[in-house]
Amino acid sequence: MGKTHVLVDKVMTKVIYSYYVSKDCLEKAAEAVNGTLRQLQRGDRLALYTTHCTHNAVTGNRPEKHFPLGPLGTDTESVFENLTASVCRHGTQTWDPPRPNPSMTDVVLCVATSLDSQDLKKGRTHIILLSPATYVLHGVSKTFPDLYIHRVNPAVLPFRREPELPDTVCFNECCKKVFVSNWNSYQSLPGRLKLIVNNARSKQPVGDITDVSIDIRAREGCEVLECFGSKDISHLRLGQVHTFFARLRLNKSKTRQVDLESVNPVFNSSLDVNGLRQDLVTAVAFGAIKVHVLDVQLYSRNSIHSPNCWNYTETPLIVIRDLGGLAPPVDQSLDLYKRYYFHKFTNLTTKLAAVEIGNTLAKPWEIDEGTEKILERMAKEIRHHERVRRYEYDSRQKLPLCPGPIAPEATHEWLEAIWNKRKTKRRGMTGANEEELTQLMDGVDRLNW
Amino acid sequence: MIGRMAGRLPSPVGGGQDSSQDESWHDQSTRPTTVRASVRILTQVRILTEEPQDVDVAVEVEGTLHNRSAAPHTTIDVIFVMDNG
Repeated sequence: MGKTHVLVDKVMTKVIYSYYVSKDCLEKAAEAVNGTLRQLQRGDRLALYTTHCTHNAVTGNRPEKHFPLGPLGTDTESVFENLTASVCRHGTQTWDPPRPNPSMTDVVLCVATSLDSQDLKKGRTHIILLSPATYVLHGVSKTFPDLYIHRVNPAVLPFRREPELPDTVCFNECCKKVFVSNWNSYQSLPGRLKLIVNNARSKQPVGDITDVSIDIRAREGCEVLECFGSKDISHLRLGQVHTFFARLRLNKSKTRQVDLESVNPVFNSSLDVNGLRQDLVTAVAFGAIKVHVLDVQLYSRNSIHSPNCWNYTETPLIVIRDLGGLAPPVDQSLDLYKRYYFHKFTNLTTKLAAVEIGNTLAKPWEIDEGTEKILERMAKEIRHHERVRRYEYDSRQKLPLCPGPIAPEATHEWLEAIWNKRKTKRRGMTGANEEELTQLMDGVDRLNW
Repeated sequence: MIGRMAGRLPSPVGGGQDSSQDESWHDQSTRPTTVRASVRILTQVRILTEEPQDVDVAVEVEGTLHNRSAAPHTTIDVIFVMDNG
């Protein structure tokens, strides 16, 4: 009788309320993990951990290993799909009882320490932390100077813990190998992970970019009405993105066609990037008219050069005044608005964001269908943030701190059984087939209610 | 502008460089890999249809690898940590 009662409570808690990681966020993280596996190759090793153990009625607040570090094999993709699906099924930290969380630095240190004995590849080991929350990981680079840590936000909007809106990326020595994605600026989750893996296989760069300053230089027929976002970037790390927005007023008749005969060497060099010159030549051949409306000017410094040495880049914006015989270009507006709304709502407190997004969605005729879908997803996440902040205020104010260092969660026997069954299978002896594995996991999932 | 600036600079050193030096200059593997600031501009509309026309744009600056070259060993260890808190 008592057991059923606990079961019902747990179901209700899981279905309705998750802590700061929303259901959508967790699912996106799972998708991201599985997608990234396709970028891995023979000789790579991988592991899967979660920050919490959600297999029991009371959430365990220490990291749990789901897949021990091991080589990529023929069945790894399907095993990971099952493991991540199981993680999603078990949901996130329960509200009741409210338990203190260790700092994310301690969580990452715990995971790194548990891997220390496994001869990690020097200079080529990457921890990908899929978390929507603010956790500056000071000190991890000092203890594990060889490890790369990627903080990647999988949620449609990140969750800034109280107090909201401080700048939460550290560029000091203590965080020199910590990289942050989809946090201050929108970045596509699968795109970002693919790039992390590809960059991991390349020689690491020398020098750091600092003091980036951007500006828009409008040309004939173009007027800059408004700007949103900062024009300055203090540090630009590999893979880091910064977005800046502007509203332009364009007067077709006053715009000037792109000058392909220009003698300006800087402009000419900008046309030689990404085959732009060829595009423009083709456009002319098809009777199209392309106009040069503005240039984005960018100044920066690089630590490999002297402090008074500045780098200058110009990027032109060219739009079509007359399509001629060209195929219509790919629509970029969805990509644009994904970035714009991400920027807008991450720069507002949850309270204000809720009001703003409500106002935006109240005028559906002003936005297209694709953008509306994204806004609805964001609105759902913002509502989730509101609930979480209320819960924090009501139930988590007096929680004790959870100081590190912490040890990982003890492995469940049934999880070890899965790892062992796989080992047996790999050795070619009679072992579990995939169906049996799934059944085994489902079975023990139910047992643990 | 470049012409005006160049007029004030001393003439380039080593005017008599031999061709073998030129070749090594173009050898990719000796160039260091660095980070560069790549700029991408996204626009709401790509074809002008009205006069005047208000257009939203996004400027995306990303740190990308310049002179990418493969590391001596290209296999990696990847540890996924999913936050389920």
